[in-house]
Order: sequence, then structure tokens, then C-alpha cells
Amino acid sequence: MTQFEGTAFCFGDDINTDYIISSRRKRDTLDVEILKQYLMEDIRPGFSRELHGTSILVAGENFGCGSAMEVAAQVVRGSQIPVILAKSFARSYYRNAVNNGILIVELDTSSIREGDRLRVTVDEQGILTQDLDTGLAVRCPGLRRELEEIILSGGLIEYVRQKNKKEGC
Amino acid sequence: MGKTSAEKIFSRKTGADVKAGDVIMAQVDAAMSNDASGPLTIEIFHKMKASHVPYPERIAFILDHYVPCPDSKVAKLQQSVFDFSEQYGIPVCRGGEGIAHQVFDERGYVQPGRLIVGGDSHSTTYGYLNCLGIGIGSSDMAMVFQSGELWFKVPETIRIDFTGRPAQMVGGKEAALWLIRQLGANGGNYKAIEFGGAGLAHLTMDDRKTICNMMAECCAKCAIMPFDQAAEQYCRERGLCTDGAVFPDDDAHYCQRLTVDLSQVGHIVACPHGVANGVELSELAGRPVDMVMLGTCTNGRLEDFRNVHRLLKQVPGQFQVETLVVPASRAVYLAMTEEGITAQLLSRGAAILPPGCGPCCGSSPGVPRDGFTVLSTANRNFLGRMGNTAANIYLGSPVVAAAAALTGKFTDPKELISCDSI
Repeated sequence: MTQFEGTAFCFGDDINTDYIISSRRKRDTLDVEILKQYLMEDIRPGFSRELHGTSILVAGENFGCGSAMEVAAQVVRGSQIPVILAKSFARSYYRNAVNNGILIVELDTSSIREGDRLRVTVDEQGILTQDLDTGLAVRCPGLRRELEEIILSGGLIEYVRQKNKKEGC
Repeated sequence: MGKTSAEKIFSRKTGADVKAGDVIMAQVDAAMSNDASGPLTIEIFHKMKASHVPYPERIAFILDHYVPCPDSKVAKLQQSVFDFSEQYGIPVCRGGEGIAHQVFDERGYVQPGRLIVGGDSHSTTYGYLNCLGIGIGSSDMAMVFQSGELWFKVPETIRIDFTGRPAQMVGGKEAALWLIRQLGANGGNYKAIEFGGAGLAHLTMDDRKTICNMMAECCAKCAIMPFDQAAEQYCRERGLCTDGAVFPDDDAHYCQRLTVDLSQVGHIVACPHGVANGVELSELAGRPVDMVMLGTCTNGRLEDFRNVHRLLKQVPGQFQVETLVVPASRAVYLAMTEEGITAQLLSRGAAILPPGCGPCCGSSPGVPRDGFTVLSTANRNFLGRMGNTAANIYLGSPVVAAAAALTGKFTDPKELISCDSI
């Protein structure tokens, strides 16, 4: 069983990758510690300074649409955001999120409020999302086993390293 | 049950009878990496402790996002691309050759029936030539670099049939904006979009590139045009192998079907800040435009500029607003110059930028001023996309953009011609 607990930060529909991290920021560096300062800057200036401890992003439909750029997943993971809850995800973001060890959960997020305390539990039965402030509890089916393994390894880099190590033995 | 074009390509790639929903490993036939996603791919490749690229000939690095290199930070990242390519024998197209999607195509990597991945969402473009073009992130690309293969979920397919003949000056851009408005910003999510129908005969290969390019804007995984007479002729002229061409079965299963009567599609412009916000050009007519951009991987090809040239030859006068022109490739630029299009644009007041992504994503010069209304031929109009959140970006076809450049207002290009001839 793996459990994540964090504060909810809410966004709307169609949050595209340019909003998550602007194209003009990523050209200078690959350093996530620098890039994460610019998280959501165009639609919520100063957002990175609002984050303290573990946070959970909550969004509407089509989170991560637009570019396939992976830095949009890296800056989220680098901002101590291990989970994103959304009504739906864009395909390329879904894949990049998995590859960066972000747990993505598709559910109806409309009742979750900004600042709510959220708990997300991954176990044999699937994924349980709880809003500790409102009492909401939603159970979703688990991800495919391989995807879950990639996420819980911390992302594709770690997953590949561990796999190579095992095969090496 | 019959198969869609996507199911056929994935079946062939795996040597198995696969259908939508199956998760498979497949060798990719070609992989495109650029200067925006390439440096991160290389970093991840090293972090994965990979040390071998088995199929360097299937990969190309094409520098397009930040060209010519604007500063020493970018130079350092671009250097990593040159170092890696030298070490592993991967060809690099240096800055100035053009936008990756266009150059990758010009260099012959795009061929019917191929499974192609690109480190850029607009890799859907490649589907214009009856293949699968799929945009992927840098971790996935690092896997492709080290193994030549990747896992894929075989997508369900939306079938679009075109009928009718488009009106004069209406083409691929309008068809794309119409479809995205219809399907919505995520209407194609996880899905392949397969095109067909008699109306396609009226859409040129460049129109098809524009349409497939823009299907990324409804989140489609890939978009595939049929291998018809036009595609066959195109391949023959370029010496491309056509053995891999696929044809969907008559009884293929589609999750959704849509018919588009091209004769009913007018000039559509997408309003800020979403590509699905298409309205009829007439609704905006007369409103001021402050800046025009002609180009990008959506509409920076020779035919786009020929269409603009045709309009300009009939309508005298200078551009009334700042007009940026970005040819999609050096080859396009050269052809434009040979045909007198470059001189025509310059004489009207255009600023021609080096072939590449240009100001489309705000990472190269050409940033609009505060409060500017921009009419662009690109594929995205998100808030801040061109580098300024205080600007509003509208998307339209090259001819519609050129008409706005001539008048400084949203203008139906046909009105300019009829006024002139009176």
C-alpha cells in the first residue's frame, strides 16, 4: 500500500502544458529546481510560492493538453506534487506523468475545494481518493500493473535502472 | 471484424492480430527529436545508464525551436545535441534548416505505413502520408534511442469523411478548425483520427499536412490520411517507397463517425485562448488586427505562400501592420524566392524570419506588445503562447491572415479581390 496526503490546489478545464510551464522558460535549462519557480505562472502568478509541503493538483477536463514536452510533468513532480486528480488527462501528459512517477487519478473533481486536505491510497483494490475535509471518498480501479510499477519506482528512469540491475543479476 | 488503418499498422509492426485497446511493444520506423525536447532526452538517456543506440539511422535531430541560437544557455543545451549525435552517429539538421516536422518530411523519413514518433506534439503531421505520427515525451524518446522500440496502446479510431468541394480560398486550415470546434479540445484524446471520402480529392498534400498537424489540438494520438492517387503521385515524385501503404477494411470498427461537407465550410478563425473557439470570419470582420504571423509547422509551406502570393498579386498596397513571415524550411524559403514570393512579401513590408518555429511558442523573437490582437497561421492561441500574456491570438488561414495584413482588420480576402476588380 502506498499513501499520499497533501493540500488541494484547484484549476479548471484545458490546463495546457504552456500554462504549466511556459515554453520560453524551458529553453534555458533542464534544472527542475530552477524551472519549478515558474509553475503555472501565466495563469496563477506566484503559484510556486504558495506551495508548502506535499500538494495535490486538482483539475477539470483535459489536464495537460497541448505540447508533449516532458518538462511540464517534471516541474510538477519537482514541486512536491506526487498526485494529480482530474476529470480527464490529455494523452501525452498522462504518459509523461507516469514516466515521471506522478500518480494520475481520473475522477469527478467538482466537489473538491481549494485547500482541502486530500489523501490518496493505492492498494490491491485500486485507488482510493479521500477529501478529509468534506468526507468525500471515491474508489477508482487501479492502473495497469506496469504503469503502477513505473510510478511507484519514481518514474521511468528509476524503473529502467532497477530492471537493468535485476536482469544483470 | 475488419481493421482501421491504425490497427493495420500496429498489427504489421507486431506481426500479430491487434485491435483497439491492446497494449503492445513495437519497433518504430523513424524518430524525430528537436532542440526543445532533445537535450532532456539525452539527459534521461544518460541517467538511465544507457550506452548504445542500435538504430541511429532511424533518428534525426532537427534544431528548430531556438534558432539561430539566442544566448549561451541555449547554446550549451544545443551543444549536448551535437555531442550526442557525434558519439552515436545520429544525423543533425542545424538551425536554419527549418521546422522539424517539415525537414523530417523533406529528408524522406515520412513514408506510407510507417510508425513514427516525434519529441513534439505536432508529430501528428506525418499522418498526411498514410502513416502514424505520434508525439511522445523525452523519457519515451530515451527508450526509443536505446532500444528502437516503445509500448503503445492501440487507439480507437474516429473516422472523418470529407464530401463536397471547398469554396475558393478555403482549404486545410478551415477544415482543421472546423473539426476541432466540432470535436472539442479533447475530442480526439487517446484516439486515432482516420480520414477518407471523396472530398479529399480537393485537399492538396499541403492541406492534409495542415489538417493532420492540427489534430494534436483535439488531443488525437495520431491522424492518418488515405493512400490515394494524390499520395501515390507525391511519393512517386519524391522516390518514396509505397510498399507500406495501408487501407482500412470496409467493416472496420470506428468509435465515432463524422462527415464534413467541405462546400459548407467557410473561413473560420479560432478566438483566444483556445483552438476549439472557432467562429466565422464574418463575425469578426472589421475588428482591428495589430500583428500578423504567416508560417509555422501548420501553415508555413510553399503552397500556403503561393496562396498568399496569388492574393497579393490581385490586391495592391502595403501591409498595414507588422507582418512576420516564417518559412517552414530553407527549401520552402528557396522555392518562395525562386517564384518571386519573397520579393513580393518584402516589398509589402513583411519581416522574414529564419526558417524554424519562429514566434509561435514565444521562445524566439517576434513577441507581440501588450494589448495586441495577433492573427496567426499557427496551431495554438493559448494565453501567453507567443510570449506575452497581455496579447490575444487568433488563428486563421494564410490567406485570411494576409488579408488582415493588407487592411489592418479582420477581412474576408474575397472582398478585397471583388473591390479591386470593380
